[in-house]
Amino acid sequence: MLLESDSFAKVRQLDNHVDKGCLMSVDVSTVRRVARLARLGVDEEKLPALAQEMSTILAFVDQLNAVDTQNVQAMTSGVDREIKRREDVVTAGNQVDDILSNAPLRDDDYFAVPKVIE
Amino acid sequence: MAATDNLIDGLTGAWEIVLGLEVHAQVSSVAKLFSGASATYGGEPNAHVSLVDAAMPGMLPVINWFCVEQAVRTGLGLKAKINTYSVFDRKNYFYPDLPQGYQISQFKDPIVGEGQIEIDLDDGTVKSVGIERLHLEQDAGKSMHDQHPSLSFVDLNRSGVALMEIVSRPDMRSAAEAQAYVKKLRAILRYLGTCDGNMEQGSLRADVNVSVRRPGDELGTRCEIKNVNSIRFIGQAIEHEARRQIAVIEDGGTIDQETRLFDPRSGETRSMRSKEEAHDYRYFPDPDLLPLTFSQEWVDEIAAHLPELPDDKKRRFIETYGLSPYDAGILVSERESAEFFESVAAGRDPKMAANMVIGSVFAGLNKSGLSLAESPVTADQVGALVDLIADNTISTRIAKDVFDMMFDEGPDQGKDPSVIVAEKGLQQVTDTTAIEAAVDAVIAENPDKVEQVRAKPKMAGWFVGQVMAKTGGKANPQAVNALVRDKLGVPDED
Amino acid sequence: MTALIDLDLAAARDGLAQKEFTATEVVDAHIAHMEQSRALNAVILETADLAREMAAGADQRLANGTARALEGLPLGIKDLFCTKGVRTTACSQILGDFTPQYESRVTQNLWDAGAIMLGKLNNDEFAMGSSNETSHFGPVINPWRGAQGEHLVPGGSSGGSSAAVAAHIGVAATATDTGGSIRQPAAFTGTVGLKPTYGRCSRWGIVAFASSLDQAGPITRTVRDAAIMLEHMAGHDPMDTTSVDVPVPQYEAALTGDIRGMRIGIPKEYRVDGMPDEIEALWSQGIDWLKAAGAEIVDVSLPHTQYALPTYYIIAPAEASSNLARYDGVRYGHRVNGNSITEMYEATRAAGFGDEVKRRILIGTYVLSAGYYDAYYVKAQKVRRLISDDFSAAYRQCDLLLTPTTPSPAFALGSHFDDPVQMYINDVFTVTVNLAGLPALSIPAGMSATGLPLGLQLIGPAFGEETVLRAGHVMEQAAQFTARPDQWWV
Repeated sequence: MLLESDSFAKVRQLDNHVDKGCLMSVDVSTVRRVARLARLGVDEEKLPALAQEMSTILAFVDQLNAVDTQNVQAMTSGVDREIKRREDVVTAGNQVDDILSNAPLRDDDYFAVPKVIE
Repeated sequence: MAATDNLIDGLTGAWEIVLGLEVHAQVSSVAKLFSGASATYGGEPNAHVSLVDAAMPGMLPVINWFCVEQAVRTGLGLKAKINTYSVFDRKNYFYPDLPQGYQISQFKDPIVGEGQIEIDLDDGTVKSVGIERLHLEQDAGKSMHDQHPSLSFVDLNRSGVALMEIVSRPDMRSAAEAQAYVKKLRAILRYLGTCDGNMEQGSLRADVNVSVRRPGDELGTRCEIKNVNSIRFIGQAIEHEARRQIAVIEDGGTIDQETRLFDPRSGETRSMRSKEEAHDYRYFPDPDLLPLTFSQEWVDEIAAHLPELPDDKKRRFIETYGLSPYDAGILVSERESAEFFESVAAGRDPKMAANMVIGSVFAGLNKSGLSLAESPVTADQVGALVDLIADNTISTRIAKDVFDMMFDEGPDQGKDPSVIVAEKGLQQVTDTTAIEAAVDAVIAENPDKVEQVRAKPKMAGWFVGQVMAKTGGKANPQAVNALVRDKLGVPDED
Repeated sequence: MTALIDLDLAAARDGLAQKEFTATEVVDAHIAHMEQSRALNAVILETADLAREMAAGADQRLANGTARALEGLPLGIKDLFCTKGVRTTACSQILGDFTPQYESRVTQNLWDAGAIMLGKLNNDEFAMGSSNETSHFGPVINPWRGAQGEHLVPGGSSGGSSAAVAAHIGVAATATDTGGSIRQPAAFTGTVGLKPTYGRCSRWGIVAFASSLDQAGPITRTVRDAAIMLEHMAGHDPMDTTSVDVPVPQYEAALTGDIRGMRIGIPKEYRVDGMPDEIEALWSQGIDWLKAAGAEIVDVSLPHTQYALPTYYIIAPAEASSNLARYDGVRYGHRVNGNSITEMYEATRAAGFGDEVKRRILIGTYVLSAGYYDAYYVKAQKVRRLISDDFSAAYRQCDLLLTPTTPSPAFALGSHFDDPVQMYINDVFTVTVNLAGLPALSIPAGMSATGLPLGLQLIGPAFGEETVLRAGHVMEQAAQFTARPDQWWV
């Protein structure tokens, strides 16, 4: 199947278009939930626009539903080799200043963060 | 109600507790799972931390192969299926002691599959508990929340240390069973040398899943009590949580599936701060790594060199040394204890050796809070003491005194028994003439008691005691007994 | 007499060896030019003092006969490479003034070969973009201008690298390519861009974007220069599990000029209805050049080509969403305080990341989340396998593939900014290559009707860089692309 100019145009105009039969487009509550999972603060007013953008992108990637992938093995790495091994010896550490020198807030030799309540 | 059931009586009837444990065992290794920093406990804050552990930009994981070997070894010790293909996945969540914002773990394809452990219950019976899986994962760092009013402090020393997460099947039905499970698992790990099982230092921690149900019913909703770090607390936590759940249900409520913490000071479990959303860890295979693969030959090589495990050793002790299951159980609870015993028992009466090791050595260690490694007496010395009894140089009564002198703090601590016996002249008196003289003396001095003996034969024991005292405890008790009875005309006891 | 800055890497190297000039002279010339070229915004951190220091050392070695392969040659370094003691930001606000206490493997290799750091180069924030307009340091301006003198983008994410090389700031630059970020900017600026096979260069010390796709590579003025750079950038690294243990050939020696009998595959799916005529024409021209040099032309098919972009835009954001979780204000970079740790995380990341990065983190988080993982992420990894298999099948019929690099020449600054998906289409000819982990080279092959450079791309089989460079060199000689942008920015 050719990458036709039609699909270029389709992609440029994918505003509210959602392919029928594919996964739902993204709503504001979903963006809020996903933003929380990603610890990304988002202003309430920006949520609708983000939801729109995400829906557009997801509609674009939904094309993959057309591909038959039964019996195809997922490719999770760029490399098809045996895993590399390291010996059980200490080769690093004892470099407290390297580790802490960029800390936004340092207390003695600890990283300091706003208190975590369990 | 059957005697063997583990049911708890609620207000409205009997309840069954269902327990499953997820034990996190720190792998005994020099370096961490994916970085070259030291995995040793302790250390100055952030000293055992490499750039990889601190998740600096551009850092990448490389696997410590020895940790893989330790996991395979552990799986073999759990009689489990070893998977020669497994995958490392990222478990994504945010916490200050998780520098990368994800933990490298194994989700769908763990390195070890199903296995089992035999646990030893107090009544001497053995129960099989299933293992669902074991996987390798990174430990997190430590955050301290109570050092400052508005700040928490993060130490990443532990971040990246190799952990084996061992998941049991929900086969346990009482706190005692759960404790026996952890004890046995710990023993196996220590035997294998794959984890030191030090719960105070956090090398071994348990997440306990507790649910309750009416016998015969479907499984109830479970709560997970996280990071319980002593066997005693495991028992307490389970007892409290089970009763809490029963009370809630009997009150008409339902159990919310949640994560709880055990507070040792109050003896209660409490809910962790409730999360607005259930954890969505978004597991996916770590693209910085490749699948973990190794050959069956390598696994077989490891299997061929496993040390004798507790159950096998216990069986052997019973068969070869004729010990009772109870005594054998005590001796094999730690590999070092078993080795100590066998050293003492070599070329000697095993039962005498067992009695001395359990009754004197272990009792003494327990009382003074010492470990076997800190024992003031060596296996050779204990063996020598056994020899002195066996060849009648001293009586068992004197031997107890000699042991105490060897063991307790004092001028004679740590001395060889033969030295103590010689210095204090504790050799047993076996010379019949001397003993006879003492017996005659006691009889002569106590005519009224002699009269009583005729009516009450058991009074012979009093005479024996007097003779022992007169000889400073050194007379051979059997000889004294025989002579006393003979002279008093009292038949032998059976 | 060629001005010092106009000597390409090989010429500067040879000149230094012949003692026609000193390293200090070369470096001083580049420093001066760099300082005059600030209007391009290609360099975000000038390291002139360091460069002069390194040049002095280079001159000593050149004098006493211990000169190394790249001795004295000034390079620009994309700000994704961690450079010890020198601020590294990935062109994001979230890294603040982060100063690594370690050097990336690739740049260490270059310093070990005697090269010199001129400065850190601008790029799209966290390498996410195709126009270098998402950088916290502002956009890079392409040295090539539009017909009416409009400012154009230099491509991205390695826009600073491509603009610097095109403007002769430094003799070459390092860059990274995840979906086309070396090749597309090279095509937009009339320079040569090489993305090696995945695993050829170490990723250790390079700020990670998409772990299974990222690869470091050079942007240079000529194919020879690219070969020389790759020889020193490449190599196995035991600290990178995905780095492959394959010996590094002498790539420069592969430039024999002889490609007789080489089979060049032309993938029909890259011939798009509605493709601009001039791109089609350039492609035909490339085919003719190779035929004239004795190569055989073969029609091949890569049936899943059209699915490469959606596949990429699931996998790359997914991996990125996880790789960027470490930027949380706890251990380094910028922190925005909060009353709780969660507030701190959210405020820090909201303030620190730009819109495109946020967009991709959100998409990535979404496609990995419960309920969507199989439908999106796993699906994409399966289609990826099909795309990779397409290439394997094609390489049974040919040795290399020839395609255009981009569907258009450089576009005006700000013209595509509002439409993320339209921006993604820039990568349509390049993303397939990253998904399959293959090597690819873009060379400047012609000019558009508007007087802007256009590139052609050669794609090779895994670890086939020598073949790619050999053919690229032949095509470069045939193309004789000598056009230079006029130096309006100085």
